[in-house]
Amino acid sequence: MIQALLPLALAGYVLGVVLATIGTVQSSRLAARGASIVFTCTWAVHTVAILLIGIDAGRVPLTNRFEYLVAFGWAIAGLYLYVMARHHFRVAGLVLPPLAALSVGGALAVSHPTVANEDVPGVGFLFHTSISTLGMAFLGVAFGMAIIYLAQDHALKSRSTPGLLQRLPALEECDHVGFQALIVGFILLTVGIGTGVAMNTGLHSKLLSGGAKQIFPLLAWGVFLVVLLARRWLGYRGRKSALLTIAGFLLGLATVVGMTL
Amino acid sequence: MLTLVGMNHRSAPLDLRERLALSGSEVGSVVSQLRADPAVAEAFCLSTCNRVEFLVRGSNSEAGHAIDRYLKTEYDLDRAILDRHAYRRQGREAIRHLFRVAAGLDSMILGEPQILGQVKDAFAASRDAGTTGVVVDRLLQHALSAAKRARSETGISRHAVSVASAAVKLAHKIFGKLDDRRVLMLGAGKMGELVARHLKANGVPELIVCGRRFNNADRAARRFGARAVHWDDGLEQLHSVDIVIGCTGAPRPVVTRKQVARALRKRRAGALFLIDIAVPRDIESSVHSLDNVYLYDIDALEGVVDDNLEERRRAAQQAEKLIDGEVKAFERWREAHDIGPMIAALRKEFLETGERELQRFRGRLEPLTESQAKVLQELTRSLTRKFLDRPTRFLRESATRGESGQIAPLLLRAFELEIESGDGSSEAQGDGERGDDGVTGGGPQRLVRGGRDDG
Repeated sequence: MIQALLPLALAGYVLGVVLATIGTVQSSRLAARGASIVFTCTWAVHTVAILLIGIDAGRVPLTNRFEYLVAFGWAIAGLYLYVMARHHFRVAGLVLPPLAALSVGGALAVSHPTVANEDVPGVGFLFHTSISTLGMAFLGVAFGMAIIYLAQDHALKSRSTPGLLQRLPALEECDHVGFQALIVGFILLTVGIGTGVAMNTGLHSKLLSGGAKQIFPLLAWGVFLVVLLARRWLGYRGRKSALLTIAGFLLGLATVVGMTL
Repeated sequence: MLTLVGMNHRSAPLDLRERLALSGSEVGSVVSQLRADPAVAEAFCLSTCNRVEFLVRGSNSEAGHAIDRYLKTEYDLDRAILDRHAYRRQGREAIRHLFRVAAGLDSMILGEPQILGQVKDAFAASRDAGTTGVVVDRLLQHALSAAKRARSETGISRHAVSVASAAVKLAHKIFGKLDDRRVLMLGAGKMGELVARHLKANGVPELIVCGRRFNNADRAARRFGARAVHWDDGLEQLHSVDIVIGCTGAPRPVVTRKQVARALRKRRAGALFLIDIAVPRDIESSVHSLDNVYLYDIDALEGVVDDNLEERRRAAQQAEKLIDGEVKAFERWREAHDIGPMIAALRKEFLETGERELQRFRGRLEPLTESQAKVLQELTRSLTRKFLDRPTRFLRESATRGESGQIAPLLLRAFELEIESGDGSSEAQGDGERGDDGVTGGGPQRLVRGGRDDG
């Protein structure tokens, strides 16, 4: 069943992205509405897939790279639906669902390990992975908003793309939504890193063991901290801030690549 | 037949349009006068600052002449003036014209949105005066819904096409809502005032005008509910405003990159939008390269307007196609609507023939009981109905396909039918006239015009 649901979710996200692209570029309401329906249905399928993975494993499905990718895709797609419902940023359909699709695609590309009973992780570990995954999903939204912000900034600076200008949300609204997502994501990431460090200290009697899955989140956290502090104390906004947000998210994403849970 | 006679900004000079211009309250009496003409079954009138149009429906082209008579009597406009300055549309062309007008495709500013409300108001006025009937009601409802479709499904009204509205649109694209934004206007130029008024109308709560001559700035500020400050005080506020409009007559830039960079450091807020509509320019162009600063001078704004006009023209091509489809849909409705009297006439003719033949043959039969006579009568009627069933269905289907115009005249001629016209007069096959589109007209209303004209 899981083998069928995840490819179905992947196909749904891809179809939704195609419809969202047509809806945005051609200003077609029909395609945009179709995209919303497809994304909602796909997210429901994705939710069922996660539940089945959890039931199958007999625990919260967040203990390996496969499960992390499935959960990250689900969280970012859910946040996309929320952003659409709240702010009607149609163009976000071109940025956030592709992340969900990539995540599900990545999960399908890696093998689905079976976990023996003795490997069942503790509550602390599950809390750490859940918070980190959710934090990365929020930061994914901030990343998406930063991309849209840069596109709008480019359109306004170049002064010659009215077609694109019409389809993008207002610069300040992008900034506002992205900033809110960044704050929540940063808090969750901080808690995630904190619990990770605490667990590492308990297991190996040292703060960090130096692996990629520890270095990259810390680097990402540092970048986000700079973005937030510069914004708070220096009023630092705009293009550079958006670029740093993108860099921070990509560093965070690199954690998954170096992940060997 | 539907006939439309009108004058617009392209066809007639302003003084002529002024003579014909009607206020909202006058439309009712004008259409009532038109409707009083015996040739007119329905009447509608649209009057805006750029056009005056009269639409009538009657059983033949005489209804169109009723408009000429009215314009001659009321405005002393003879046919020669009308031929020179008015346009005349009949049948499908009248329908198409009205659809295009409602969609803003015939407007001075392509796709302008006000016309839709004006058509709606004119429709309400004509309907209140009781001068519209089934066809014109349906025509206007269809024109309004087609216009809404054209607006929502194409970009015909989406793009700003004046410098002031383009500036406001850009402000929306930067800030979203403008109801918590502050605007600083440097100078008191007319164009700057227009932009400021547009911004105010779009929710900007606070406008500050500063000029080297305080009195001028104060006078301008009073005109649109702004606050005037002295020149130096105004420049000091650069850090606390979101939008700056430059419209002074200064020979060189009054706002430098250095000043803006300093203001940015001080303001610690979001974007700064600078609208420079002064010539020579008021704001150094290098300001645009600063992060989070967007400077649009008059050339840039006109470039946006030109691009938008091009977008509207492209959207208009889509809208024309959409309107064509809607006109066809309306014509199909008309044909289906018009086929009703034809079917009724056919049915009546067959039933009467059946009745006549029954009476003729009853004399040759033995005396019948009452129940036998009743059965015989029912048999005749049933046979008539059965014979008519297939042709009736065929006619209805051909109407929905838009083919009844070719079939109906033949059928009418074959059975020498007469049908009642929509406005109560009776017309017979073959007594028509040649329509303006060259298709044989007259006879049974609308049907004998080859399906191309609406009657």
